[in-house]
Amino acid sequence: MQEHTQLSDKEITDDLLSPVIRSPKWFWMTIGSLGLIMLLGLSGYVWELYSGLGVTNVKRPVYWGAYITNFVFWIGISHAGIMVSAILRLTQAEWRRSITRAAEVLTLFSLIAALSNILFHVGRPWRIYWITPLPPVVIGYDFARGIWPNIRSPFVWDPVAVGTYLLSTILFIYTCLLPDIALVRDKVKSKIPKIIYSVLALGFRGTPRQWKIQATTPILLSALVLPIFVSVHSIVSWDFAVSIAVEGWHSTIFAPYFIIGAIHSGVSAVACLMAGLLWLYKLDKYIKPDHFDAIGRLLVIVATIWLFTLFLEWIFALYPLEDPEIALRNMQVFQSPWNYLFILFLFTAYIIPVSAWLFKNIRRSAKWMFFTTILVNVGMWLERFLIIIPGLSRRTELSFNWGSYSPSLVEMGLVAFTFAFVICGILVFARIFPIIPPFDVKEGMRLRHVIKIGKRNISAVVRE
Amino acid sequence: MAQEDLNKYKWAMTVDIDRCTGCQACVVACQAENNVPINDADSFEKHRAIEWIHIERYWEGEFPNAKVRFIPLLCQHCDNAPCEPVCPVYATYHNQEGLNVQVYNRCIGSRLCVNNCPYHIRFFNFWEAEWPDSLKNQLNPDVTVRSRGIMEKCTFCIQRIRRTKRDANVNGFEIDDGSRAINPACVNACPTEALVFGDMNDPNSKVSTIKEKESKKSGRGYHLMEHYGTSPNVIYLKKIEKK
Amino acid sequence: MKLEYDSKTRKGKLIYPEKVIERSLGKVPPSKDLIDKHLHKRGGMFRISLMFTAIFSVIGILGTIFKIINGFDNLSDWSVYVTACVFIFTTFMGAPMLSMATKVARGNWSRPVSRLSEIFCISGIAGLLMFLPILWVLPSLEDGRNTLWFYDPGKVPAYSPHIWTTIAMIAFILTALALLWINARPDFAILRDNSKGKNKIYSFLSWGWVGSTKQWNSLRQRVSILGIFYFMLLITVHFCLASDFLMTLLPGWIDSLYPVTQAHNAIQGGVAVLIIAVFIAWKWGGYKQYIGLDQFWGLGKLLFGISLLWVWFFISSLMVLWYGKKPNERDVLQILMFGKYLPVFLGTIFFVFIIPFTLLILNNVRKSFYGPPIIAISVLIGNFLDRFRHYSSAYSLDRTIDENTHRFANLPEIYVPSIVDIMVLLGAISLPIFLILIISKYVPIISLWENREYILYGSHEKYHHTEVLVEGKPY
Repeated sequence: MQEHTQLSDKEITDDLLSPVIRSPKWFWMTIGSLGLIMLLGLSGYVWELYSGLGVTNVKRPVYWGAYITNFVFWIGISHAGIMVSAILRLTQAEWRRSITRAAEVLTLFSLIAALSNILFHVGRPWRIYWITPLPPVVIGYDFARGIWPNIRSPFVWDPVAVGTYLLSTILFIYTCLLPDIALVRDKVKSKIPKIIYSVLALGFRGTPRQWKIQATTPILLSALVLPIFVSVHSIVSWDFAVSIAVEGWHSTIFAPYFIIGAIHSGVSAVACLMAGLLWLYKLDKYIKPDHFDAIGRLLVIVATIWLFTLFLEWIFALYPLEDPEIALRNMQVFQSPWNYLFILFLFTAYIIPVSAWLFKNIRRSAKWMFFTTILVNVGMWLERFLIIIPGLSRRTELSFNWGSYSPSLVEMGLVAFTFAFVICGILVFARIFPIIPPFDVKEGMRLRHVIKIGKRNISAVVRE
Repeated sequence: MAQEDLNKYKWAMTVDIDRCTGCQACVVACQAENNVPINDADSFEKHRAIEWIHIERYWEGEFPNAKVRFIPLLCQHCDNAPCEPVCPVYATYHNQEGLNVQVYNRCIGSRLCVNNCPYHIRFFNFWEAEWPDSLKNQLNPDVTVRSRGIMEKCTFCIQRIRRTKRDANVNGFEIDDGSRAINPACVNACPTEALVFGDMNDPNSKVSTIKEKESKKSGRGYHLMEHYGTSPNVIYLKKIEKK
Repeated sequence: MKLEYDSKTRKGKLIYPEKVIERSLGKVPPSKDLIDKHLHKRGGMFRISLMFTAIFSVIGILGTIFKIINGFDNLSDWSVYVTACVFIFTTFMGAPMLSMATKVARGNWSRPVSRLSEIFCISGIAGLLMFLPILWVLPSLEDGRNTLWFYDPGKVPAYSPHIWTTIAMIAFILTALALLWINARPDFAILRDNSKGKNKIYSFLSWGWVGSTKQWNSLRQRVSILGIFYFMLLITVHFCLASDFLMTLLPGWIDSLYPVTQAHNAIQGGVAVLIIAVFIAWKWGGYKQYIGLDQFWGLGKLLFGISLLWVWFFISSLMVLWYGKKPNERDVLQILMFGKYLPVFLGTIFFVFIIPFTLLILNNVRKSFYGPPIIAISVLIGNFLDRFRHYSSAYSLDRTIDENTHRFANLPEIYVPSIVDIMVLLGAISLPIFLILIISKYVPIISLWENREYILYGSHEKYHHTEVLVEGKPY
């Protein structure tokens, strides 16, 4: 990157560990208000558990509503983690150093939020463990009545994929955290936190052997996690694409369409998160305009590829010239309220952000990136909504059963719960562990070189 | 007791739309037989009414030349059912007698099956069903009373099939074709005999005869939404139009 | 900068000084050796290859003329011809993508081989020449064939697919040639200044290049914009070919992913062809000093990743078409995969996925001189089989529908190529190579200016107790 300030080790440690040693001033107020939103949402869920799914607006024929939309949305956001840490690590992009951990923590909490949405969605959540392959008899009790889950069902592929992703994210975060936990353990003075950090640090002392293992593990994990990156959202997209009876769902492009949409919304969420962390923790020395510039350029390319897959989906849906499909697309583009939502979606997910990101000044400004990426995620939530609900409301030729849907208060409350949960989770994590990895930043400092050609200084980096 | 031959029967139904008058006797009989929750105006407005067999109506033209077309819709018990592979817990599967079976106490209400059914004949219990005191004695003891959060649909009155087969096995008689004991409630209630139920494996049964006759090119027989390739076990017979 | 850190007391700030590496343009002039290599008369092996490819190209042209004489009516006669034409687009014309993509991603390792990948742009001419007869083969829209251009009699021309595809293809080839010329301009200038006697053609080709800052900046700008256009046009050409020239001919095959799959297969074939070209340049071209293990390693990693992606695209299509058991989709899968074309399909999977994946997963194979080229040959065979099973089955399909079941009455047998088809196939492979060999007499196949940048920006330095490669990232 062009700009580069050389920082000393002590400066890095002090800056990045201060939020962990002492809570920032705004911390408890923010957690309190987020906690209040979460409580309100959860109380809605308690009411849903008590009365039944009738408290949602789900009905015939739209049996899947805001919960599934939210589920797909959070799985989309979760792709940020792998994209930033695994792919950028494998392509050896130096600008990933400050943002890997924040992206992965975002992934961790979005996956938990996504899985919680499945819990909200099913009719009998107290039996949801039947989706897992439990042993027939455990201490005299048969949990699953001796029946295995149906491996052909998309809803069984989902937990397998998302669970694998969750497990690998936890492993990734933990192995990359070890040096930093050791650092906190050495700096912290109070007794009980010191014991907890010492246990969590697993005895990391910084010996050459430990550093060697610590350095090769993320590379191996990155390579292993790449198939997960491709398969998780493909599998979630096949929840819809394997269905033959819903118009607009049975399209082979769904797997790449959803994955590229996930990269789009996930990387935008990372940019949004970075801007937030920059302002909250005053990390001006670590999160630079260069980072936002690089993310912005990546997003322009990804968003355009996403637009192309959207175009492919539409053109191949219309090409067979079948009446039910044409009725559906007519409704989406011309009838109220879908036409407003559709235009809003196109503008917020692509037209406004990408036009803005073509300008270098906007790309380098944290404030503009923050707002445009929020727009992107609003648009992407709408995109999932516009894939799921209109298709369901115009299913097949039995037009007598066509219906409509809009989320109820309980559903909106639980959607708000997931948002508050993810933000709260990240902030709590940032309180306990450094959200920007000190050891990664220090490593980046050590690898820097300058090549002086004539009068020009070119920044260079050691190739791993 | 003799060993039950599970492959003996293949249950099927034919629906003659020409004979159907749209009287909805089948709907009422089904509701009574299978403990289907009571639908009031609110359930219909909210699109949550549960009607295992229902009459779909389509209006054509304007008054005074308005015409109504109606078709009884019930679970087609497809041999290639799209709802079966998608259930995560095997709550719906195809049994050897050709029925698409719904297991209430296994269902967790994920609602994948209802999205995949092209005929929209699966129903979800959004609330706990309530019956007024006067109707509680009317509930059929042979049929589960479903709680909330569970999918349900037409079962070809499997309780009646099981009971008649058990009786026949114990008492050693053969089940007659068209026996009212084994017919589903809707078939028994239909005044015009538009609904015919029977064993497709028996070449002499009424359903086999109808299928044989009407499946030819000149016949009136057809399957609903055939291009989905679901191979339904319900054959519809076209209405004879006045020339 | 001074170290203020006292390691004994562990006090003070530990600042890592930026290590400054001195370089100068004067010390790294354009390589005399490379210029000489390019300018000297070509050896025996070059002439033999030129002769052979010329002969086979003529055979191919003769084959095409035979086919045209036989007429355009019988669609199935043209199956292998169309396969061969699309094969050019999914192999030779995918190679320039490497240069464009690494320029956008600012990678350094690909600089020695970027000219080799750009030089494949000329094979587009062969592709276009082969494509033109197919315009007469493809039926017009008047007989009710569905298309993406929403045919409306009287409003939309009955030959819309033909028009749009040809426009896309011509634009694609022009962009490719423009990219080749823009990237080679500095080299032409170096040759103009350094060659004795043969200046005329190089001064014409360099078109007034002096190497000023403004010219360099505009070169980088034009290359990045045209590179993006090249990528978009690649996707467009494959979209048009895959939808109008393939999917519309197989009723019931509505696969929104297939255009993207074919574009991806083009990039895979392009990387494979490039690896083979790099190997030839390394082994027999005498460029051993300039192409190193790094290049093969990078290309091997790329081929590995792209082969994995092949499986993803394949399973995405297959999952959706297979799961629902819809009758028309089951028929499509029978035609393309599980029916009579099963051996071709198994061959495709074996050569395009199983071999690259299982072998390139081993680091020793990836980071070797012979590993990636051998696997690239396997990928090319698989690529051809893939095109064959799609295009031959679609063009030789018997479209009669069974009255009772409303499905295809007969599924197509594997189309056996005739002698004329084999002539055409040989021509399709040889003509692009012939064009590349001819143009390599004027365009240096290792880029002179990029080689200079490679040496300038890459530096082997002593780093603590080891030696590392330090790469500069100028922009």
